[in-house]
Amino acid sequence: MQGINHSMKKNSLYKGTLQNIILKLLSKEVKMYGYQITQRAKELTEGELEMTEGALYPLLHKLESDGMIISEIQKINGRDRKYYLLTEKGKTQQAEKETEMKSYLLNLQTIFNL
Amino acid sequence: MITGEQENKITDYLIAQQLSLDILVEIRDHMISQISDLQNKENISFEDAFLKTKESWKGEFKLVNYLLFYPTAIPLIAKRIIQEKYAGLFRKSLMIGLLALIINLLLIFISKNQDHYNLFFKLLNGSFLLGSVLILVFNYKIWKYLKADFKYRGKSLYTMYQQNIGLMVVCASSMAQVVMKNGDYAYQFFREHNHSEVFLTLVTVFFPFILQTALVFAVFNFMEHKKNLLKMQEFLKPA
Repeated sequence: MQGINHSMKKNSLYKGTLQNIILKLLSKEVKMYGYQITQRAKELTEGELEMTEGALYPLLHKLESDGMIISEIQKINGRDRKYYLLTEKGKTQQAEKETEMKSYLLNLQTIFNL
Repeated sequence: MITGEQENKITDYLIAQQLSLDILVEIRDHMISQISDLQNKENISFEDAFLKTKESWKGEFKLVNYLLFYPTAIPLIAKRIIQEKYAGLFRKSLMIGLLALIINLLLIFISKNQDHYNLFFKLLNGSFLLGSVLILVFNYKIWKYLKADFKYRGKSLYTMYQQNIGLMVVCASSMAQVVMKNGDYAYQFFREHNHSEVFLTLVTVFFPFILQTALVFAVFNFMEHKKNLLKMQEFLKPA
């Protein structure tokens, strides 16, 4: 129970940055599908970031509504799979947000290294 | 490796959760990948992996109300996705509705007389009616996708937008009624300073605005419905 609470607390810190994380992951691949995004985030953070489906899919649909990403359905091994791709607007936004994020992290580091 | 029969079992489970097919197709692939991974990593049977996966999704399929758009309860994850999608469409519809409201007010002031404004009033509202009717007519090929799906014998809606297409018909017929009316009260209020019929003036100005916004929202839903159907055309083919 303590372990679950600990993991939930850690995930809540990522909550406001999930959109940036998704955009960054998409910028590194041509296209990605939902499950792949969750697994890639988990793998990169060594299991610390477990993106819930309830957070991921509404966010992907929001990004699509905002024109940051587009989606396409492809048949892979006979199974329909929905892929997400960054649009030009999404690429620009991602680059801007990454710069903002890096500066934010640098400031946090400075403060917490006091 | 998940067999076709096992995939069907997952699909049946998701249909029972009352998901529209455009959301279902994505969650289905997610669940299949999740089950496959569990089977490989934990060396367990399909049934056990499916049970674990269902458990992890349980909270997302909890039925919640969304009374503004859905008469019956829908799964939580569907509500979250739909809210994101509808918010964007509603914002755009509201902008168009507001633009039409401003144009309507401008027309009152540039009209030479009441008859002149009545003509503008009919043209402005008529353009919304004509636009939506033309969109419906030119997209006659998707009329058969306005009812519940045929692939799963009417158990699901095709898309999350389908629910609102009925609104298009309701708004278009109400708009036809508006087109047959005149904008007399608004003209008299603003141009002739006749303030005796404030309520009817408000109705003349704001009822078309609400109707235009709702009609545009319904048209956007129709277009999104079509877009999603095109994306899903392979999935919709009978197996």
